[in-house]
Amino acid sequence: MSARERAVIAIWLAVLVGCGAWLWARLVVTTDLSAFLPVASTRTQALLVQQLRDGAVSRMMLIGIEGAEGVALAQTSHRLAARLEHSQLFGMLANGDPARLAADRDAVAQWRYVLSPAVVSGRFTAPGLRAALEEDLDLLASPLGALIKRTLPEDPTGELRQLAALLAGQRGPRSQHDAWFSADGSRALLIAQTRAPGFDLDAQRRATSAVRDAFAEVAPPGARLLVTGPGVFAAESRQVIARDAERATLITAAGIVLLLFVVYRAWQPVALSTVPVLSGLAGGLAAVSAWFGPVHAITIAFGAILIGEAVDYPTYLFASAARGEDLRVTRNRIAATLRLAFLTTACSALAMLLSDFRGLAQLGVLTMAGILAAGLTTQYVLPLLAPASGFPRKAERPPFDADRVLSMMRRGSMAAWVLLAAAVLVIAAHGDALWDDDLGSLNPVPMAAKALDRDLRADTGAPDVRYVVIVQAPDREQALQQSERATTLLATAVERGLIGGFDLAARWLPSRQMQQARLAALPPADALQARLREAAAGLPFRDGVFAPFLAAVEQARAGPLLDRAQLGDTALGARVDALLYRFEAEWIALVPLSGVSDPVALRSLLVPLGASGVSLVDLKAEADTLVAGYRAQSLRLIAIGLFCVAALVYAGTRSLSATLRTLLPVVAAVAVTMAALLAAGQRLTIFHLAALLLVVGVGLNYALFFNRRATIAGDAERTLLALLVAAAATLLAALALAASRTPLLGAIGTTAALGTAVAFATSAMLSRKRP
Amino acid sequence: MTRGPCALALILALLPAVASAEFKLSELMQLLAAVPSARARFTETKDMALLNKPLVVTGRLVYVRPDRLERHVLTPNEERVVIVGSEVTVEDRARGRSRTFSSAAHPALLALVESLRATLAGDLAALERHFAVTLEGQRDAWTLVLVPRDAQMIQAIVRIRIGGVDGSVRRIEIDEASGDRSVTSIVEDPR
Repeated sequence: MSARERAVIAIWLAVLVGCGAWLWARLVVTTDLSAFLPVASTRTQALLVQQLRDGAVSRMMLIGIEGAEGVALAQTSHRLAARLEHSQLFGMLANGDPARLAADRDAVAQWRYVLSPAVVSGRFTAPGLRAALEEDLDLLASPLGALIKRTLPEDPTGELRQLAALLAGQRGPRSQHDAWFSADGSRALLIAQTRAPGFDLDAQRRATSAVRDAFAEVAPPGARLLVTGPGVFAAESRQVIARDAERATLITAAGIVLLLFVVYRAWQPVALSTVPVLSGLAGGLAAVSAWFGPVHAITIAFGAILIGEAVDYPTYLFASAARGEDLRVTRNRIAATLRLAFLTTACSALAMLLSDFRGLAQLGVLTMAGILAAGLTTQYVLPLLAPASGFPRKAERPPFDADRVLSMMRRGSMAAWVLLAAAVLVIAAHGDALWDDDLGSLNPVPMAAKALDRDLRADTGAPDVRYVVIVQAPDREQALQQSERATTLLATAVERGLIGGFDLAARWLPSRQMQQARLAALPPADALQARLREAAAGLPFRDGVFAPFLAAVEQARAGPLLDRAQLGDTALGARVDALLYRFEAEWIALVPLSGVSDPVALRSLLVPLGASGVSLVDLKAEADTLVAGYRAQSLRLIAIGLFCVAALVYAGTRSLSATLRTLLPVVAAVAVTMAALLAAGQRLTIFHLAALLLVVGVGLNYALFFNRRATIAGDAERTLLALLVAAAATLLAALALAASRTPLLGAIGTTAALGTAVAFATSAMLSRKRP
Repeated sequence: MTRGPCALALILALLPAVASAEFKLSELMQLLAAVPSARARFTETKDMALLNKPLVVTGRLVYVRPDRLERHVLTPNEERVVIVGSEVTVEDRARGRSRTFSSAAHPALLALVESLRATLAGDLAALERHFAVTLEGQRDAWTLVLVPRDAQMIQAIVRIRIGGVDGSVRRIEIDEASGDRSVTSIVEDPR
């Protein structure tokens, strides 16, 4: 071994050990789903994405119990709630049990004079009180008297009725046997909020298992538990992704080792083939970890495909070696093609690497660094590790007459053009329906889980909010004040039928300013007593019956203002947290709107408040522009990537026709794969694009090697054998991924498998005839 | 040894006669269930701890089988209450307001609504679901005594007595846990 060769080995070992050490010390795996949410480009988008990650909504858990009759379900719901409360893992916990809402009712009753919008000064004058008392008398005469009689002495002005109507206005699930049920009565429902934030996946997993364990203890036979929510999704999809990734990697590794052994019938080349693969994986993962910090589990799963791709390079090298040939000689013979192959593949990952999508960019870095590492190792290190006398080998050629098959395929080159034309037609016919605009499709959560989530959401009456008024203010008090100002306009909007209703934090936690104004409307004790006496003159109320009212008003006047701490773990407190939160240096108040009929009129109605940080946001439109923006960027990047690849191929071959011959099969493969996916009723997401880029990478290898000029006897057969093995390895890896339960990994796998097969076939069809 | 069987036959023969002498719950329910609809005038007198004199309410009642009951109050204040199934809608004409409640959520309201609705429909199963039911008197002067079973219901209402003649209800007395009491007398008015 020359000094130069020793230096190469030393450098390789140093880099490998460095990567290994880095991964050992620094590798952090994340499954934060928001890595696959687009990075927001506007502030509004940023605060929506942040809310998805760790807002109050992300801590919500919806629980359904089914598979027993109503009373048993209700009983299970109550027992489950009691156990969960005991676990201390949950803050708010609601299942429709009136006893469980007692804390809410008490809070509303205690703070009614700062909460009720009806508390204005006119209400507490003698005429105002008179009107209230007359209404009370009418209510007493009606069957509803039974409902108000108990609270009348402390609340003759009906603030509790006002607030109860507001509470009832927020449609909850239907109640039966003191528990919430789905509309058809087949499912008991609970809503819980974890104390831990949504992104703390270990805590979310503990909370989910706490629910499952508690259910197992209290459930009657036959009853089933359904749990959903962002935290549950995150925790469970982490497990699924990890399992899928592990399985795909194992299947791929085992399959490829078997395949190589069948071809080489010797352990040495098989073992040596793993050297570039492992170097590629180590280099790729270390690069991702160094660049991004935490590595996403999906990136690691993608590593399985990288194995399938990286193993191509040692295969090209080993299979191209003539019997007894020193691999250094083989390497020198195929060096130009090999170098071009891994450079173009690495280059095709450029589009992903430059994406703003953190998840996609990770896949790009992994592919680029991994392929470069594998390619360089194959080219410079592998020949030095192999014995100088070459390997003993059995298979020299494919197990069929390669010449005949290849010339048959070349005769079918017309078919490739027809296929390409047909694919272009299919893609054109789908036009606008090409892309999946649903942000949800980017979520790596199994479809069944998404459907369950949708069901439970509909059951609990949690509305799918599309329009929301967003208030941004420097502090909590101002956020509340601004949203209260918006309330006046929104009430007008309700009257004019522009919207059905709205909800806001200030309803249950009014600004201090508003609370003070309400308390100022309450007269001092002696004045109130005098006015009440005047108001009750001639009415049949017994003397002194309203003493509790006088006491309650006086207590409210003297008492403190309501703040968040006093709402504690009540459902109202949870609602306030969901609608009012801190974001970076600001406070955000969300006002979700329901039943919006005329967004344009609504927007113009809210214009006067625009200057004070109040804006109307169409969440669907925001999400759509977010996704569309990414798509546009991705297509642009793909174009740049393809251009670089074309330039590389031209630089390597110095021939326009060779460049075309190399690029055409790849273009055809991408087009045919897209067309096939569309014809199968799928819509394309950013992950299909990632997989197609992968197809471009391997397709270029095939085209390059199919067109490599044979220089020694038997070269062509050996190259074809190498190509067959390489394609089989990639196909194996892609199929292993296609079989995973995570839709995102499945989509990548299916697309890659289909594309690899088509790229291989078209490369063969369009390859140059041998002289 | 023929006396035994003879005595048994005699007892068996007499049994229906004994039973018919007593007015049975099932018979009352049949009578009530046979009424397709009814119209009446009512006067309700409510004695309440809150008030220093009884509140007197008068108006009309309309019942349509199986579960629709309307109560039009004419004095002291015009008001219409429509009960369909377990839904109670209160229209306050003077204030131009209308509110709908589900009685299922309010035990006190549920007791009032169900006692009357199930009685008028002759629905014994529904009555017994919510109340311990006993019948006193005979066919031309009966009184149905309903005591709530539900713990929450009994915190509001202790007992409901519904009196009537044949298939028509003439009097409703409600004793509340608070000591408040309401007596409604009903006069048929087929107009």
